[in-house]
Amino acid sequence: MRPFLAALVTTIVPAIVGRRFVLGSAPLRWGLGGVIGIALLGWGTMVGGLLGSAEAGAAASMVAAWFAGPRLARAPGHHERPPAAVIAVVVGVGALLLGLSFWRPVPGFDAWAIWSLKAKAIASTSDFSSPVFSSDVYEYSHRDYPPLLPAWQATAYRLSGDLRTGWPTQFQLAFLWTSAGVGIASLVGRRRSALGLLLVAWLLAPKLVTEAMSGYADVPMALFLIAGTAALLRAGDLGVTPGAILLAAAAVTKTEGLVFAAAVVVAFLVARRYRRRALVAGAAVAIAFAPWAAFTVTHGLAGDLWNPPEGGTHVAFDRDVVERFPIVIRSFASQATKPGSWGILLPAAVLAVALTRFRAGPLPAAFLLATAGLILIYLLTPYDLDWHLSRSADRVVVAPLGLLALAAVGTGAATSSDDQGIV
Amino acid sequence: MSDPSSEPPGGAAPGRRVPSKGALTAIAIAAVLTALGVLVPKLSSLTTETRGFAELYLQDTGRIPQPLPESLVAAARRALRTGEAFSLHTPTGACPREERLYWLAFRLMPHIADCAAPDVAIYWGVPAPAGPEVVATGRGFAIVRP
Repeated sequence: MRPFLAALVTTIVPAIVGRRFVLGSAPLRWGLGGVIGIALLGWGTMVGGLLGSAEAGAAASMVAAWFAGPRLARAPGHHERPPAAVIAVVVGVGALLLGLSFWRPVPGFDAWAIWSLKAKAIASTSDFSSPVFSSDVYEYSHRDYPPLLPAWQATAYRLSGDLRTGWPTQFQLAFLWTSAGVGIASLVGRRRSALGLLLVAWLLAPKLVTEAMSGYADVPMALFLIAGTAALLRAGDLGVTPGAILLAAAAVTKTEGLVFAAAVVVAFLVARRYRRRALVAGAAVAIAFAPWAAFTVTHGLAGDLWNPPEGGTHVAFDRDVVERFPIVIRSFASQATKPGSWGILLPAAVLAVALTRFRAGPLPAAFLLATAGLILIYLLTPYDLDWHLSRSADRVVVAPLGLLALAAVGTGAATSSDDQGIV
Repeated sequence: MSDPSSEPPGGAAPGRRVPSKGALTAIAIAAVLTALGVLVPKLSSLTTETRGFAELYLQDTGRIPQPLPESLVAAARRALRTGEAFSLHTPTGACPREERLYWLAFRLMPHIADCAAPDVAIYWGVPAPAGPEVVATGRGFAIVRP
């Protein structure tokens, strides 16, 4: 019974709290609000853990958010209902994932070697004092990776009182996908560009859906990032808070998330009309990441790029940067065009951009900057390049493809005669 | 704050034809339908995988086959007292940075892997050294207190 309650409490409670940050249609409030609440609960638990009590941080974040939400929420200029058919499909897939989660343990290698391992560590001590975050024995658990996801999962382990039952964390991931899906579909709206459906195609891509249940942090980070970027674009309607919170959450969920969130902020900063919201989002990213940055610095936890694992069998800077470039590009392109993983999302997005009037804007710039950042990571990787790509290229393209879909949506909205604005 | 969201992020470049809304809609709908078409078999696989987990009563990790026997995990849990650390010794070495160590570390949490000063040493595929107290043995493994 306790695992069941833990699964519900760590999902429904943040959804109820996060809902107070969003005004508008019910799907928008519950979907986007759910993701916001999860982001705040994860971050609060992380900061509480860093200060000595994850529970206190979790409780404080929810109480503070409960009171702050209505003060920061902004009534949208119009109450547009999202397309019912899209919401029905997303909720249907989400219901299946939620149903399956009751019988799913922690499935993937990185899930139990990195993310859920840290969740158990935080849950067992209620802070970050476990040797999982300090001992060299755990260096392959990437001790420097930002821990928002483990912190959130730790709340489920802690509340269930059972470190040997993993399904509540799978329930959490299924809930996150469903909330984000409803939120993103709601941001797409009905009367805006039909190209908004490209974001739905991204959301329903088999690779994204199956990775969402792998226990890895790639999809949670991508969901925060895309929902956050879309919300930031709608800041005129929603206020800047939802977008800023979600971009900050992306930055604290995965190292690439920091790169991607920075790419979005920089791209928005360059566009004068978005500068103010970009500054707020940038400040949120910096504030959210600062506690973890301080912890890694004071504990000497350098990332693999600067401090490759000692004696690692795959540590080998085997090719020079110039030689690596086409290999990385080919690998990403190969993953992004796999029909079994992404359908026709990439060609459809490229075709949409090519067909519409295109002018450089923050969305294409964010996509290009994020992709450039990702490529740079692989150009500098200390690992055997082929080995590294074979184990991660399929997952790391998730978020950039979302940004590409968003860019295509934005371009379409900008050229459509009767649609104003984005998503 | 003004409402910049009402302004398009990528304005219209002059001199290019605007495609019909129908063409763009068709592209977007095709992308969604294709995604759904390839998603259905993947959801079926996910369901089959989940059924496999349930049939094997896997509740903690979904690694199939398990890198170490369940009997070793159970014996180690019985041997470890509150707050004690363990080490794993395999043909690859002591606390090898490989899947078995991380899988076992996950399974034995809150007990921590500590190769420098373990309270309990687990030998898998290699003989335990003579001398220390043997607390459990099983097929292919021995657990000792150094």
